[in-house]
Amino acid sequence: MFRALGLAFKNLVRKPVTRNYPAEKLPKAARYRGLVLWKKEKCISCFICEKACPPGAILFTQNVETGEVEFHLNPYLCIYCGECVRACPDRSNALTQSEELADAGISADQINSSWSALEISAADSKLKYRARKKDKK
Amino acid sequence: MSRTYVIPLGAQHVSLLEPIRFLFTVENERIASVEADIGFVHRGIELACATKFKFKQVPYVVARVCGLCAVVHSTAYVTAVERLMKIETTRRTKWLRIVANELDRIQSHFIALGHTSECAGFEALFMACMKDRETALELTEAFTGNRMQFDYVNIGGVNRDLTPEMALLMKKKLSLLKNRVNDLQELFMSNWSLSLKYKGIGVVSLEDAQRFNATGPIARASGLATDLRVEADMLPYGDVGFELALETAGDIHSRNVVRLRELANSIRMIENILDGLPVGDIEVPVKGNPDGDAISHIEAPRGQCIYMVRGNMTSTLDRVKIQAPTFANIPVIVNAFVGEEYGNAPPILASFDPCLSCTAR
Repeated sequence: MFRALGLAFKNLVRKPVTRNYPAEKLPKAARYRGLVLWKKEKCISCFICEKACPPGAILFTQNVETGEVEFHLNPYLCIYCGECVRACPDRSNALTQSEELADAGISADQINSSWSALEISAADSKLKYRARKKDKK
Repeated sequence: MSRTYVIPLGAQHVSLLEPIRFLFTVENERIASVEADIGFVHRGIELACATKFKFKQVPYVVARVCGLCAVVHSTAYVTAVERLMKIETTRRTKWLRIVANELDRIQSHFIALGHTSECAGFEALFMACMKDRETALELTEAFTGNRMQFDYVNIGGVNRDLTPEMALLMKKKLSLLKNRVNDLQELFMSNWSLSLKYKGIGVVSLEDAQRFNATGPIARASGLATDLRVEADMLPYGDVGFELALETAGDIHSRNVVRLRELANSIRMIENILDGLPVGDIEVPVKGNPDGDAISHIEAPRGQCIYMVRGNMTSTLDRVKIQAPTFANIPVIVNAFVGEEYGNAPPILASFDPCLSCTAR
């Protein structure tokens, strides 16, 4: 009983074990899995990451005239597994996984509502560019 | 005079973490018969694995079968595919996979113990268990990069290596956790008010466990010595100091004791692995597509998890069949209720630790 009383008194004056969350930031583990970053100048447009992504959160649109590619990532579809980074032939240069998180608000840039339209246009633009390249030859 | 009532428990109930519905037919206070309905969280994952996703993406899909034993499902799937494609992974990979699986078992057993004590009316112990589970989750976050849904294993290897700093951190936290497990063991063994709700209640006899083919801690609490960690050769558990935890009473108390002993053993195994991790690569290149049938058996926190994979030389598989541990345990659970008081139904159910996302998938 004395042991229990002592413990109770100790707990009374002890600091709380929880953290004062919104005011105080939570500590992040090292090598936290965050947003995938893309470097345009290093990318060779092989689209392997797009095919490897399990939920289909990566899309490339291609400019029909110049063949220039643009990278789209849906951070709310992404499961942060890093499969794209491992599939990349130029791992840790063209595609890297940062420790940053996406914004919590989905409505910020409305990426989810326009994603299905982007899926169609991305496939379409690549087909068009390929057909144009064939015609030139 | 006895009257018969029919009382439903679920699909939403305080003693349930996930939806399952039981229909108890009760005579006065005693349960006379039970019906179970388990298909509330069916998501069609098996079909999705065989149609929508390529076989290299499926480890991340089957991880979503269950939140609590996510890495077990991925490990079972990748070992099946590796058998199919005759890929020999490195020794380091296998040992790191054991670490991930055991960390998963630790956090899953903590939630089971906490939930059982909550259903016995011991709220403070539930909170203590969840606090210790937090340590295990911090370790998984440091080790795999995520608290839940580890996404740690892929075909041919694991996704990230163990760094020396991480190993040091894990050792420090595991030694803290070891002391906590010892304290909990003492509490669960000697607390008088817990024993009122636990001892001699929800008994599964050895004959019942054999007849209904029980698996996991439920079978081991009844004295049925079955554990795929020694019976199957998917992962080298024999090298890292595995010990079988066996009790004979078959009641809620002995199921808790089995879980506590497994916790201690898991911590010891991880410490052994950290001490003697073999050097080598963590990935093996994978080429070609799978063809033929393969089966793999992995011991999940709740029992045996069996995967059957059939390939057809294309990048999409023909069939992925998942046999989850709770699905095999449902007959035992239903049988254990009969003859008990209705008031004891929640702790009995919690002590079986049913995982219904796995069951319905």
